[in-house]
Amino acid sequence: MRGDLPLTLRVNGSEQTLPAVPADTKLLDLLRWRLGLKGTKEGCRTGGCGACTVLVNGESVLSCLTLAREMEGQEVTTVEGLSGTAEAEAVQRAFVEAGAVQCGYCTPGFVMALVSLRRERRDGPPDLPTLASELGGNLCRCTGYYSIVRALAGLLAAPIPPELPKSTFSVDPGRSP
Amino acid sequence: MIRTDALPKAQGALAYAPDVQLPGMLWAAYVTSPHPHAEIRGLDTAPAREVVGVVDILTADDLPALLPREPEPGRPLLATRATRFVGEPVAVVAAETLQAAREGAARISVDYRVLPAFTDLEREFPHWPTPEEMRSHPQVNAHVHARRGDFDQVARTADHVHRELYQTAMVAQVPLEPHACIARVQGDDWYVLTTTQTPFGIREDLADKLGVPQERIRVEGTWVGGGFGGKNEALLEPHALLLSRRTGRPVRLALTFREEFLFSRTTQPALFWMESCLKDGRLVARRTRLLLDTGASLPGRDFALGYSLGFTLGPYRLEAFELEGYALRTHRPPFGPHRAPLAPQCTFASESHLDSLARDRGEDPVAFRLRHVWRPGDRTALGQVVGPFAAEAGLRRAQETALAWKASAPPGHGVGVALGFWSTGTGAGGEARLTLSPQGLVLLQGEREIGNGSIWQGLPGVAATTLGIPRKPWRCATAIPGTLPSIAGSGGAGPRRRSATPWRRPPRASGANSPDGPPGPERWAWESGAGPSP
Amino acid sequence: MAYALHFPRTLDEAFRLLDPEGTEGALPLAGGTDLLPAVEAGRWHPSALVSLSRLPLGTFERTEHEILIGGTLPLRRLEREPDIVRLLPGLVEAIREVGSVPLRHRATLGGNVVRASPASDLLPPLLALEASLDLRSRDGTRRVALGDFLRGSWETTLRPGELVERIRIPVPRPSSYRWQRVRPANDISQVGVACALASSDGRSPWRIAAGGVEPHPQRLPGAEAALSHEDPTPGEIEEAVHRAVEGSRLKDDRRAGEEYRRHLLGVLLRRSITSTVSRARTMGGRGT
Repeated sequence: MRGDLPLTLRVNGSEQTLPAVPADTKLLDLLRWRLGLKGTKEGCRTGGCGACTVLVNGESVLSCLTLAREMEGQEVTTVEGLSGTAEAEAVQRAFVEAGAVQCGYCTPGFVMALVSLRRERRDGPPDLPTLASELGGNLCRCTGYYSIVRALAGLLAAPIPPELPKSTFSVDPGRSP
Repeated sequence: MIRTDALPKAQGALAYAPDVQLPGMLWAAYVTSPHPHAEIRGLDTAPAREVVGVVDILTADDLPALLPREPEPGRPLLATRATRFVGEPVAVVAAETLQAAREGAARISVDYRVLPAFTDLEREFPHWPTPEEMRSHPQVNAHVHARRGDFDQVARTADHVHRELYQTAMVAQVPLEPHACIARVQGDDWYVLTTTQTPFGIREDLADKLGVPQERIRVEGTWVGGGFGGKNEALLEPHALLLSRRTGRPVRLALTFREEFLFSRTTQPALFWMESCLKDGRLVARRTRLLLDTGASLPGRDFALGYSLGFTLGPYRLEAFELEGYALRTHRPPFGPHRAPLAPQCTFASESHLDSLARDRGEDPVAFRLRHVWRPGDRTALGQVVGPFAAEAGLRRAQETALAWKASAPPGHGVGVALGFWSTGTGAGGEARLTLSPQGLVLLQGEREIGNGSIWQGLPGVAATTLGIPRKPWRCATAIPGTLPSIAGSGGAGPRRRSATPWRRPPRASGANSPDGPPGPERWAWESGAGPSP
Repeated sequence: MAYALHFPRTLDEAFRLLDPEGTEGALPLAGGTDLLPAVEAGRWHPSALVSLSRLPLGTFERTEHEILIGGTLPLRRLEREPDIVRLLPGLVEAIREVGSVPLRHRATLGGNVVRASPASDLLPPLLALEASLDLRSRDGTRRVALGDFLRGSWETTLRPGELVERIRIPVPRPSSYRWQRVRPANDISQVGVACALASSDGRSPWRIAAGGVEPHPQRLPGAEAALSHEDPTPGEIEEAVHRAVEGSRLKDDRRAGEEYRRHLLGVLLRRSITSTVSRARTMGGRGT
């Protein structure tokens, strides 16, 4: 099985068959360089920044830590495929209106991670600290995160925290639930 | 204000430099030094050339034939006889695929002889060195010394002299978008598309590094995925251009995150000896002695030394001060432009020192600051007269907030207050071209939007407001160097202020540094290969 | 750098591909979140990766006294599984701190155990919870206590050709995991302390394990022995802290120095004990 085999998967709703996909190709590189979907950004390539987040079968996944050939028969959704849908627009609008998009390199990853979290919580929205904490894998170097928290508050129709004590973001290990 | 670039960014619809692919493009990868200091005894590229897809390999030996003149000594484009820091590029491999380029890079074998390395400032300088020690120290890049009054004299008559040593660590800005560029050389046309804050600055730097006249170089900027001062220098562009020139094909070169930490420009460790004199409960004098690790940089890259040392005095009233600092060349990654060069480190030392001073006296640290902070009309250490200044109001507001946090903080959480300041608008002048047509306003200028909106939306907004025309429709474009005179790069909010200056009314004259204003430091000395260049 | 990639659909096929006599240097690939970047960085050089994604190892079972977690079940599934949330609170606390949500959609408990990273945030609670592993190979299944499975930093007693079929954890176990990091999210703990209450059989009901100690996460028998019953006195807790700190060799690396880790071990142990005691009350007493 060494060598480059064809790969069939669904990307943004349509089936794609790619000839000769090497074993060590990451999903990130397949999307960006074989399919031209550059909205999925390459950041750290080690699972530390979240810029490359996509949906696999509807769940957020780091495409830099996923082998492309693992996607055989799976459904992959990128920011291009999601944009224009109501659920993506809600998130994107919240970010835009809160001033949470600056250089913008991290934003598609945030959008994908957030859409996945909202899908998981069909039973009801989480509170703001939980949502902020569950987005902890997405790094932003520009905003200092306050505007992103504002965007989350907007999405949850929660009051915007006027200031940002540390406990807004971290689950304090010292506090017993 | 809603940013017009925000939605397309959130949709992943805008292209950044790492997203660009040109037909026939080669992919390049670096071989970097694993040692801080080592002699290169040999370099074998033959195994790399056997990798399928490898097209070209650039090493230091190739440079003389490619460069029309010798590059600046001690600043080689690729390590020559010795490596100077971990992460220094030793070779670059271009291949048909990125995997082949990386595979090729991995197979290049370099015969290193490890040499003693100077990487630990603290171990090298357990005490503030004497002038005699430093006069002959081979690692000194620059020395700065400034004072007003006689600190030692004040210290002798002071009630208390508070002395502390602070140290700070390496900081890398690491924008989420790694450095990336695509070069295409065709005949005399040296074209590079890159992620930069300052296309004009990159062109100047390239002309200097490659010995190619500026007018033959075209630098095109893309959307920038975070710059923070770190995308001002031609780092990868020379290598990509040289490979493109040799292969006749476009060449893409991008840093890995590991390379981003090591090879892009960073802040290196610093040691701050802080001394403060108290008299009748007042802070009257301060001395800061700074040793700054400037990594594998040469004189001229140590601008932050003189630029930032003044921040260690804080925005506080002082009767006397003394500032002295040395920039030292070490075997750590090169020091270079970065976010507010060294100011956070200086502020950390100054403010921590102030806290500990207040604690020693049993005084509330905010109250202590309020007793000393500049008020309008005060003089700064450098002799400027303080204009409208919000520090007092800011401190009071911070105090209220901190107390509110403290009241609601869970056990184990504390609060603190620190006061930092930063100077802006100190850069060179700029130029922009405005075209007004029935279709709207088009503003052509030389800087790239780095994310804070000051270029994309701020500049046209300033222009429209100044000219009294409707704000929209308008468009902002970045000139490709060659079409406008040199324009400084974008750093923070500076560009808007800078580029906006030409069409604004001249500012009202202030007392600041006017000939008949108060005197500056009595002594100001600078010894460096290249002098201060903030 | 190049390796072959296999997608076996049956366990027999997987065993054949992993067999040392078959393909040399073949490694099983579960979520890949730790292995793949290590391979890309050139720290591991497998000749082949055998993906477990098509194998029936993603099972979840709950019996009266045990929870059985399939080797390839993603962590995110586990932290949202009501039985685990209710019966193994200390494990859930640790799982929620591994990487990020998108990473946990792929990372697995079996993969974490087999990789045996000395900095794993999952090993301390699994040790305190007295987890054991069902290791499946061509020759059948053997059961190994996790403490016997870990042999060193990145080292286990997993034999070539073996796979983690299930992780068995006795339930219910009032438990808690307390940790400290540089950055709360998407980081690795400097020190992590897990406590669990088991049935006592005349000895201490406490099971305590810590990460951030040499050479890999360990049980702390001295601390356990200092706590003789479910609701220890402040004096007993201090004795446990004393014995934990005295009896452990703390790591000294880029994440934290030895001295700071020693401090953390004491603080986190106190917090973990206190939290476990209060959980034991709400969960209606100790476990099995």
